[in-house]
Amino acid sequence: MVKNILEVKDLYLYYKTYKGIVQAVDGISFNIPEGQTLGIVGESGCGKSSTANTIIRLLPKNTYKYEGSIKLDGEEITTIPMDEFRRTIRWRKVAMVFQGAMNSLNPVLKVGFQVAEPLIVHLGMDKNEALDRAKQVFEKIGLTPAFLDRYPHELSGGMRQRIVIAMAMIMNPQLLILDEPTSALDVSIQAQIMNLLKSLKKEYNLSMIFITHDIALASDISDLLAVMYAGEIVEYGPIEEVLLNPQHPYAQKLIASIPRLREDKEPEFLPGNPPGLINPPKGCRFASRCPYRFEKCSEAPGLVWINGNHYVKCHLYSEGK
Amino acid sequence: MGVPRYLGVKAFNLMLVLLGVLLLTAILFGATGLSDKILRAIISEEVRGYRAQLSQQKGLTPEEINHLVEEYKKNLEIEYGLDKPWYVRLPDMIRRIVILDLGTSKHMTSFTGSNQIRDIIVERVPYTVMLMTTAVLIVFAIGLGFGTWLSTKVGSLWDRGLSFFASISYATPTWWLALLLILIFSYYLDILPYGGLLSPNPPKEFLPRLLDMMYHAILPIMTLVLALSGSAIYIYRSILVSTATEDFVTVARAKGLPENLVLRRYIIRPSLHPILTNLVLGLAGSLTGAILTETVFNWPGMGRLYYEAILNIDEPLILALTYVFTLIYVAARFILEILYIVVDPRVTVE
Amino acid sequence: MSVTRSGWQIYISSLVGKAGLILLIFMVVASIYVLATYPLDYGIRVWSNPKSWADNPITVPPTWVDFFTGRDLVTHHITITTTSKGTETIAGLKFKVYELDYDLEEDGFPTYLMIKIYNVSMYSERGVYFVINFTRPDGDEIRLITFAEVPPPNSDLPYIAFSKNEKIIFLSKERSVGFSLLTYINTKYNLNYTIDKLNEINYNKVLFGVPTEEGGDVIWKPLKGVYKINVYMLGEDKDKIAMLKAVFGGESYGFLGTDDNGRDLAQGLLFGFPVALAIGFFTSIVTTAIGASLGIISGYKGGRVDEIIQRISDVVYNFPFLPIIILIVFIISRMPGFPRLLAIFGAIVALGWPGLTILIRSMVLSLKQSQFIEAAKAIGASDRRIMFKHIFPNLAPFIFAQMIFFTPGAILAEAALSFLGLGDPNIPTWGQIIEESFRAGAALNGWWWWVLPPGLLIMLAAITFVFIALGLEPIVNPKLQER
Repeated sequence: MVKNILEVKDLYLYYKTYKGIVQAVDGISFNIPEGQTLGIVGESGCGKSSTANTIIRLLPKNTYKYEGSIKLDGEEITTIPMDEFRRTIRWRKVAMVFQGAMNSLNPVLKVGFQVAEPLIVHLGMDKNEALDRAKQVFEKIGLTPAFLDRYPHELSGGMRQRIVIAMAMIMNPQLLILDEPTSALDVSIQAQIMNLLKSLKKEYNLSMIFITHDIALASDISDLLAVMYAGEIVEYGPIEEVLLNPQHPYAQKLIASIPRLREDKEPEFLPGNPPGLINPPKGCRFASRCPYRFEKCSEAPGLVWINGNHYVKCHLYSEGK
Repeated sequence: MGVPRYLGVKAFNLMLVLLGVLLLTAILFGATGLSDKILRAIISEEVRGYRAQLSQQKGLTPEEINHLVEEYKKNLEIEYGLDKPWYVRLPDMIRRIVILDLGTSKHMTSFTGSNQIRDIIVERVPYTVMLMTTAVLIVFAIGLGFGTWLSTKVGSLWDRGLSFFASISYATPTWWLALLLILIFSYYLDILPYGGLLSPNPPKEFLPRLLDMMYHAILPIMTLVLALSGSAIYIYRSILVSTATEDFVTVARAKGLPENLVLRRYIIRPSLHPILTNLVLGLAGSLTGAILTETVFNWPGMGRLYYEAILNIDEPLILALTYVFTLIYVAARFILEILYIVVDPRVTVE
Repeated sequence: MSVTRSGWQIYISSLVGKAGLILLIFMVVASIYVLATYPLDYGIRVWSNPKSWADNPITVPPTWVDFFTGRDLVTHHITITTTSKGTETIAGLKFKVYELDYDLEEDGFPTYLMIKIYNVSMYSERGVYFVINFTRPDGDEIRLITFAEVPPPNSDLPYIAFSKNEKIIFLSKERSVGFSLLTYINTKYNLNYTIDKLNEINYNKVLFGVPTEEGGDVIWKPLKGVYKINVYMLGEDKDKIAMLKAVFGGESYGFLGTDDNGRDLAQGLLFGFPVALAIGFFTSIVTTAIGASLGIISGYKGGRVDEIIQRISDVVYNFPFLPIIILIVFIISRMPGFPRLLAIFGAIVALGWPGLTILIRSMVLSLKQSQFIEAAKAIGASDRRIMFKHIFPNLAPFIFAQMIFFTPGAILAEAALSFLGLGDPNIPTWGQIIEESFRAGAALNGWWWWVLPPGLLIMLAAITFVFIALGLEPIVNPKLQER
């Protein structure tokens, strides 16, 4: 069996605002075997991005509760002191492509330097050598080395996105987190980027977390799928199982809402809104929208393992039903 | 757009500003009849001199003298264009100002005794520049220093205190603050001179003289620093805070860059454009604002000269100073445009 | 983006918003009080009229400084009488007697003593003869001065003397009083002073004090108690003085002291409230109206109109503010009869509008793309209707906030111009009062009450609007709300 590159257990991230405490990540657990990709899907504001930020420890200033265990390649990383975490984990082991990647580049620095910068900072490489390495990565990713000397505003959105990916790949990370990497791009460019990611995955045996609200896009690249709802993972498992045999009512609805070709079935939609992350309901958070709601749903459900690597967080499958 | 073309466009726009000021002043002077009044005064002065000169010569009857004087006067009127309405004279007037042919002052002379406006102004420029540049650079250092520090503490008690302090400092008239400091430091504490450039019997040697001058500059500089720092800190803080929320700063942190590098390379560096705008415009603004500060402290710069010109109702001097102030302002703006190209690769495409 | 009930709630929940509103209410109340109680031509009739202030002490601090000095300062005192106490026969001559009382309660000397005689009616061409005596608490009576007043030849009787200008006798400066005092201290205390020495000491110390010896020096100490000034008038029986006034100069005066003309600063500064508010309001309203309309027209119409407005606003926007505004006010105010405050108002407006025009234009440009404008166009609304009914209401809260934000600038600009001597000397504005204090060297002489309060009031007025603007910001700029 392949080893897990990432093991997340009971991870919490709460932060304080003047309106109350936001329970952005509320006790989630998942594993990613080496070389595999976990897709995280869910509506916007369900805590997907917070999950990613928690793994690379980009916590908000007003963090209230940051708990749980994150094991990267078997090593517990939540307890590493901040400075050491910055020097040893960030970008060397975990790199990230951010949501709104258009703004991920510093407008007044040449993109080549920005790509090469982690080599200079983390490995103390000299600038020319680092730029040479950046050039190699550029070529791999399908960018002309001439772009090294360009400023971000001189490049198109697709080009910038490639550069951001090159930047993430420069240190050969063990884990690459992609947070809505294509949501701002045209569909044709989106396809190019997806193909690029797939080829990188194959070539480097790269482990990835792929965050998106687009379940179809997630299915294109993921081996595992986690469905998030209101700060919780409500279903997690191998992609085929989750997609073909969703257990959680929310996952079922979400998957049913994907429009399909050659099927008479109309895409379903989900009435109502997810609860806010401030003071969410005590019991099952989906209860208010759930067609199968029953008394027990007023209590918080636990994880129910369907089989080896597939769990669901729903009373429908708990033993006491 | 290439750099030369970009600078060309900016230079053209700034020339329009200069022209606008000149046009405005020329029209104001012309339409209110002031210009005619000034020229008549100049002519009658010259005519009086001519008459005195003629009466020195022997063999001229009073009628002959009168005739010659009349003729001379008429020629002068044509020469100065008084025979034509003001709007016909206007282009020439502007031309003369542009080439800094600023004429003579009615009442004032330079320290060396010349009544040429150019001489009067030129010898005052260094004092203003010295005072204001020092003050603005101190304000800049304080503003950027504290601004940076506070930008890392958004929402803290310090931060909220600052916005209050900045409002107060914005609402405080600098010239009044000057009087207040004179009251405190010159009257009550009696430790700093209340004004002037040098002591009544200034030392002759260079170094003690310079120290004496610096001693006299303390209070004006203190005034400016106190008056301008609040807003400066607030502005720099706001600029840095708005950059700090950009995605690329988060990316820089995710890249594992040390915090001071993030601050320097990803927050301050991309903020240089608005920071420079504030620095240079602050400098230009305080050079023109010198009118008030220098007046209070009797600091013999251009600002005090402007005040004296108003007191003496010296129109040519006022006109010339307005032009010079505008020129300085426009020059500062142009330098700013050049600096933009250096610090911000985006400007030439915008 | 409209100001709704919730907008109001957001505003009032902010501390600065509340503070600004309270300050504004205070300023408005002060202004209403002034408008209700002051004459409209207060400036010319009262403030700039030396006669209104002739009885006041010059450059004295407020009365409440007692609180800090540790000694009660002598308060300013005026005694008036219009009736005679009776008659007294001295050496066979019948004098009419007028008496003026003064009770010195504080441990200090009145700064001066002055007597004023108004409207003396004379029924004989021989005129009248005055004797002014001074009685001290210790019972000593000093003859200060005697003088005669005779009607001009061939004048109608009764002749009224001192009707146009009252007779003013500065008793504490008058040379003949000095000689009387020399005799007095010689006989009483055996002090041999010259008149110069007496001038050095000041007559008021001798008038209101007693000498004590301290280490070989003579020190004058104030003598508390009731003083009387008796004015004896010799003339016809019917002759009389309409009014007599004695002014005992105080060491302090009023709530905010006096300036070098004896003007009551509290009065002048109070008058500054409506002036400052009016300047602030009118300049900001007119500037904002011009700036916003040009911005809307420029942004909406586009084309040549836009090009022209944009060019001009760009040029004017880049004018160096202070020199140009000084120049404009200077030239306009040189036109005889032109009201200076109007010139200042005009100049601030003339230079103030472009900032808003540039801002509004860019906002209109993006609004223009929005669907509701497209829809309005599609149903054939006229340009004017779209600008007024669709674009303006959308920008109104922002424009309003900009107007508030412009106000402190206008108030500060007016103050600065007044300070440079470009204001109207007949209208006491705060800047004007500081200008006068500056010219009189108030700061160098330590006359803080003439320097501090006007400046603090300018700050107060400016900060009021800064606070209101800060309170409005989260409403107009919804982005800030989320942070």
